[in-house]
Parts: sequence; C-alpha cells; structure tokens
Amino acid sequence: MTPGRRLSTPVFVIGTAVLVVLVGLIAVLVTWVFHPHAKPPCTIDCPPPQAAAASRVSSGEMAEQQTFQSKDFGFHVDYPDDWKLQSSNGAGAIFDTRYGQLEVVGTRTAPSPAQLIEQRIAQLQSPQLPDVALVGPIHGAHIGSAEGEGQLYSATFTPSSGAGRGLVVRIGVIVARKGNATVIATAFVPYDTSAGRVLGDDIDYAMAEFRWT
Amino acid sequence: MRCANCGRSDVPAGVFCTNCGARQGFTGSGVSKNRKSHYAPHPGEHVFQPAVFTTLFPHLGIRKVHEFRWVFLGGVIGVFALFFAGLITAALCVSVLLLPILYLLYLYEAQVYREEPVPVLAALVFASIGIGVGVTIGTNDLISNTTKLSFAVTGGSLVVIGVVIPLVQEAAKPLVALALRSRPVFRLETMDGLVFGVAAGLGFGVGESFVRFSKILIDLPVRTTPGNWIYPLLTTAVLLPLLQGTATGLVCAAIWRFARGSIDPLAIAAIAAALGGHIAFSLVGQLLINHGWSQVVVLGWQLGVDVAMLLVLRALLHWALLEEARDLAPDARYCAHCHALVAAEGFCPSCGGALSAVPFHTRPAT
Repeated sequence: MTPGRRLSTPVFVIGTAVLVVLVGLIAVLVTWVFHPHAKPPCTIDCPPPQAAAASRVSSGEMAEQQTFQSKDFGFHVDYPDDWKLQSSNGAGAIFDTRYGQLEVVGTRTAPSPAQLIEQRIAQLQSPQLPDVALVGPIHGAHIGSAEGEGQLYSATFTPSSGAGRGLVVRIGVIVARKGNATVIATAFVPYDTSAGRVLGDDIDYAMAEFRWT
Repeated sequence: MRCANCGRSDVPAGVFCTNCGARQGFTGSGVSKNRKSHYAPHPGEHVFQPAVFTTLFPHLGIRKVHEFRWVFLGGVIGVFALFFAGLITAALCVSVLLLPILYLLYLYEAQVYREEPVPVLAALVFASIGIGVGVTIGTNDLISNTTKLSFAVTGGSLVVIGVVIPLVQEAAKPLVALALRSRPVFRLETMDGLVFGVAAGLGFGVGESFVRFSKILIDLPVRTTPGNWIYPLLTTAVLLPLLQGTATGLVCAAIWRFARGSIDPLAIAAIAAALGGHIAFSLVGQLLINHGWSQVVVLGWQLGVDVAMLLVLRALLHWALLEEARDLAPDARYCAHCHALVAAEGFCPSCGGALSAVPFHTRPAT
C-alpha cells in the first residue's frame, strides 16, 4: 500500500458495494413492513361502513361558497372558501382544493370521452408524477346533472426541491357532455393507504353541484 | 534555484516553486502565479475543469480519485438497475445515501478529522442529518397546504420555495462545520472548512431527502411501475447532493478565509455563488416546471447551476492553497500525486501538487 492510502482498492470497492446493497435491502424491508397490505374484502358478518359514512358527513360542511363561471362554455363551479382559484381562463379553471387540486376545462373537440381521458393522462406524464397507472373505471361518474365517463389512476407526486413532501395520490379524470360542450374534470387527491380511501370529499361535492349553464 | 514569481532564492530545483507554486521556466509575464492550467490539489487539471471528485474530495491522490469515480459510477448503475427492476423505494434510498456514504469513506481515507474521529464524524453525520430533518419539517410548514399538491407554484409560495427556503437552508447547514471550528486544530486551513462544509451539506441533504420521501417510502409497495422515476432518482443521487454539498462547502470555505483576517473578493464571490446558486437552482427550476418545460431542460438547468458553483469552489480552493502554502515551513512531505517524498514547503517541485492536499496521516508531524 502506498503511504497515502488507508483503504486498499478491494476493501474500498467491496465495502462500498456491500454498504449500497445493505441500504437497498433495508429500504425494501422497511417498505415491506410498513406498507399497508390489502385486506381481503369482508363477505360474512361485515360491520357497517362507518368510515365511509363519517366521510360523507364531513363533506356536508360547505358553508361559504364562491363561484367560477366559464365565459366560453357558461358552466358554473361552486367552490368553498378554503379553496383557492389558482388560474383560470375562458375555458376553465384550476383550483387548489383542501387536500389537492381540481382542474375543470371545457372543450368542443370531437374525440370520444375515452380518447379525451387518454389525452389528458398523456399530458400528465411528468417527473412530478413519475408512475401514473390505471386503477379502474369510476362507476357512476358524473359532472353536475350530466352522466359521464371516468377513470381512476394511481401516481406518486414528487415535489420539486424544497417544495413539500412526496405523496401517493389518486387522479380521477371524468369527461361529460351536454349539448355541444364537453367538460373534462381532473382531480388530484392524496391517497390514504392505511385507510384505503382518497381525501377528496370536497371535490365530489363540487362535481355534484356543478351547473352546466 | 530562484523563483521568478516570488523571488525566493533557496527553493529546490524543479518545474514548480515549492513556496508559491508558480510554474518555472517561462519568461516575463509567462510566469503565472495563478497557474490556471495546474489546479493546486491536482496539477494535471485546469482550475476551471468541471471535475466533481477533485473539487469535493481534494485530499485524494489521482489513483484514489479514480477509484471513487468508478465506485460512484457503479452506484449510479446500481440505481438504474433497481429502477428497471421496479424497486423504487430501494433505488430512492441508495440515491439519497450514495454520495454521502462515499464522502464518509473519504473522510476516513483522508483522516480529515485528525485525531478526533468520534466528535467530528458524529457531528458531521448525526448533527447535520438532524438539522436537515428539523429544517425541512420546519420549512414545510411555511408552504401552504394548497401548494403541497400543486404542479405550478406561484405568488408567495414561489417566493417561499424559491428564495426563503434556500436562504434558511444555507444559514442552517454550516452550523455543524462552525461548531467544529471551535477546535483550534481545524482553524488553519481553508480546505478543512471546505471539507466540513461539503460533509455538512451532504448530511443535511440526507435528512432533507428522507423527510421529502418519507411518506413515499412507506406508502409505495416494494415493487412498482418504474415509469419516469429515473428523473427524480437522478436528481436525488446527483444534483441535490451536489447542490447542498457545494453550496455549504462554498460558505464554509469563505468563512475560513474571512477568519484569516483578510477581505477576500473570491470568498465574497463564493458566498454570493452559494446563495445565488441555491436560489437559481430552486426558483428557476420551479419556474421552468410551471411553464411546462420538459424535465430534461429542468435537469440541464440544475446541472448547469451545480457546475457553476463547483467551478467557483475550485477557484477558491486553488487560490487558498496557493496563498496558505507560504505559511508552511520546509519539511519532508509526501506528494499524493507522484507518490514521492520531497523536501519542500507547499508544493511538489516535480508535479506542482499542493502538499497540504494530502491525507492527514502522511503529513509531517507537527
């Protein structure tokens, strides 16, 4: 060994490799232990769905409201005071909601709802959402009084440097048509993995109260 | 031999002056004290060569530097392998810890801690990670809830994320290094400030990243879709540690320079580069995201900021070594580059390497 060296090459290389492998293994172990494992659905002697009922009660707390109106399409979105209108134009708006974000945009383009949903998801593929994956259809999807088509996606939100903490999120995209206007609603909400539910009751409420004209 | 630059008449014959480091053998203005094509810790490199390892790991000889480069490259390939295998949480942890682990090994290899390994390493590892965790949790409360899941950060939140948080971080990160400065043995050399600063910055980055990814590490399944995870992984493994380490290295090296009693323009520029670089990294990076630029552009910008800060750090270290070598007395010293024992003050007469940029255990006893 030369006088300037304390770590010989084999010790340094193998030691670092072992450390890196150890870090990876510990990470896998921690994730495996702490990640909430899916519970099998209850089929016999099931308790009442208390959590879902409680969430529906909390969604009723919509005292003060403001309204956004689209100049180009005429629709109205009533939203609570604790939301923030992040940006808007004649076609639609983006709201920072209680826990996430809602984008409501009107269009007069011809593609089918399924194509519009695919296009919208393609636009979302970004490093901030590095792993968007389809969960399944949103049954009973609607925007206001119009029935629509919707898909639910899972993703991980990775904030830019210094901008908060990463989250596992769900992205719901619903497309509905009335007359010659089509509205695309895209909601981003945190996903509570331990309870297995999304934190988006306020968005559900806003979509239910949506007015087309 | 008489040096054409500093005028010393008793320096050993060689290509470089052992006192001031100037390259000999030129005439007139050809003798340059700056020796810009001979970076003081690694004379084979230009001062403004964007080399990460010879800047942040200045005590290593050329062969050891190559080993660290290859091991780091192997680690990055490991991150890619974990990414392709869908083991994202494992890839994230390796990304967060790769460069800090290498730096810990460097501190051992160079024995930067002198005779006090326990307090120095404990401070640099545990205290700096703790400060990173505390500051990140604290500054997270400065960001409004509505901004926390927002793709375009604007207005006051943009100021907080792009300016306030970087400034708070740059104020907090050097604290560990400054605490170590209370020990007289660490006060003399700017290189100590640089190394302690880089280590404190890297430790802070570990704490910051684990807070940022804590929910993801728990909530994501062990194996998931790789998707575009490679961009956040590369940022976490390379760009963020470089930012945090280089910025704090700049601040601490500048503080060490100021403490020597001189108003050093390069040290002032180093502080400005650290603060401005961190703000440019965060603020402009967020603006690029806001305006829908692709991640390649964002990464390119952030890499450019890291490189610019790295070059300022190299220049500061180069100047500091040239200047501080004059305080050294002639002695038998080990050159980490040509592996020769030379009788000299500050620089190897053969290769021009700074003889203070060597592992501590090879230095002459004081």
